[in-house]
Amino acid sequence: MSVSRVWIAPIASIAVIAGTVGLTQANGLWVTSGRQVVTATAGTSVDDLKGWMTLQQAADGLGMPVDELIGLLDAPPGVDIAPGTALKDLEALVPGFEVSAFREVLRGRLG
Amino acid sequence: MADVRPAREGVTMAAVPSVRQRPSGDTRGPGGRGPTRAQRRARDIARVRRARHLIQAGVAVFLLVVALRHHTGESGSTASMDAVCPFGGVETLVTWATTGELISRTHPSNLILGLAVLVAAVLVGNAFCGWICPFGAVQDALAWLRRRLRLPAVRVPRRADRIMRYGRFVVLGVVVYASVHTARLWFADYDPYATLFGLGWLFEFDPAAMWPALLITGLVLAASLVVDRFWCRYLCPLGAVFSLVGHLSFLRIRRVPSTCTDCRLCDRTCPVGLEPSRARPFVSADCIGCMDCVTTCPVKGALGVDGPVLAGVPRHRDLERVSRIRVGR
Repeated sequence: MSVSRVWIAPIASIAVIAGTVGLTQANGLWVTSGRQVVTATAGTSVDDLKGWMTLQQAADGLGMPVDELIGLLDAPPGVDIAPGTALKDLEALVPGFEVSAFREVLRGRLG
Repeated sequence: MADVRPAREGVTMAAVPSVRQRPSGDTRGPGGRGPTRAQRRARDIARVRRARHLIQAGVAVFLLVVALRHHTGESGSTASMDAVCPFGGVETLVTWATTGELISRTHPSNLILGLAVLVAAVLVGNAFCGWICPFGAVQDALAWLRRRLRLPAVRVPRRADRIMRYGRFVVLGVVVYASVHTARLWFADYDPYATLFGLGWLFEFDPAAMWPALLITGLVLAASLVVDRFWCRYLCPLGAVFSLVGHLSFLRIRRVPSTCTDCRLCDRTCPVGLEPSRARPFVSADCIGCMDCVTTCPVKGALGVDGPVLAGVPRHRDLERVSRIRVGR
């Protein structure tokens, strides 16, 4: 069965794009996020802290208890902050919170 | 400045009999039975167009789901719209090539997608804009809406059109320069595609921060309502890249002057205002590969997809000979 030539470009384009995505996914090259695996032994520095990191991940990476990290936030009384909260989401919970300013606080704490 | 012309589809379909009609004097199939040639052509036009719109809609829905999951899922757990944009690969390419780093908000997926669409464009021509790009789909939908509302289309005069097409290269230059110097996805704050499909206007509405993007998006959509594929024709930076790469494509739409009857139906149906009837012999590298011109052409062998083409050099130099080979449908 012959295929009309008008179909070649769209079908081949879709095949090339889908095939490339599939191949790179299979090889682990397909990365859609800047997130990395954060573990207690990974040795995350204060400068490596990102907005997507949760408080637990940040504490693990920095090698400090998460409760101590939460204590450094200076959160208003009555605000319950869970360890799973992302740093970027803290802006809504802690007035005046910024990741860059928090880095400075941590730098002072960790020396 | 601009004049008004009848709707594109109306002109095209008026020239092509419906499959339900049997006009007298037309060429019927073998033995006088079956559809006439004109009816087969109408069926081919509808079939290709339907497939194209289905694929466009599918990609658009997929991207909306990606954006929706990104906004509603666990923080940072799903890919953002930016991560699956091939133009992100172009924006980060210079920084990546010179420093090995990616600009912020871009990821390896951007480079991979960017590379894939460019390789596809070289291999088989640019079908991305016509068949896959969701913002192209939105513009096609607006053109459809205009026809439904019987609003007049605005035709930009040829000279102005030719000059305005350089706008894509200006946008491309500005975006690449700003991306390199700010080391971030600078264009995302202005890009109508990212604005519309990123769904930030729905989940993180902040007029103070978003007003430039919202204004640009509104203007582009309004312009696309009266000028088919306004963004693609005059402003799309990825289209500028495709326009450059298009000269190297192995597969291109070709007109055979000795066969063409200069009916210009192909010109009327082109959504980006190209003139395939003037192609010598290849249609402009600005072509978005929708194939409307090829399916609409009433003369067999006058306009078709030709290949392999090496760096814009026709495969068969003897145009008379080309008219005898099977081109296109």
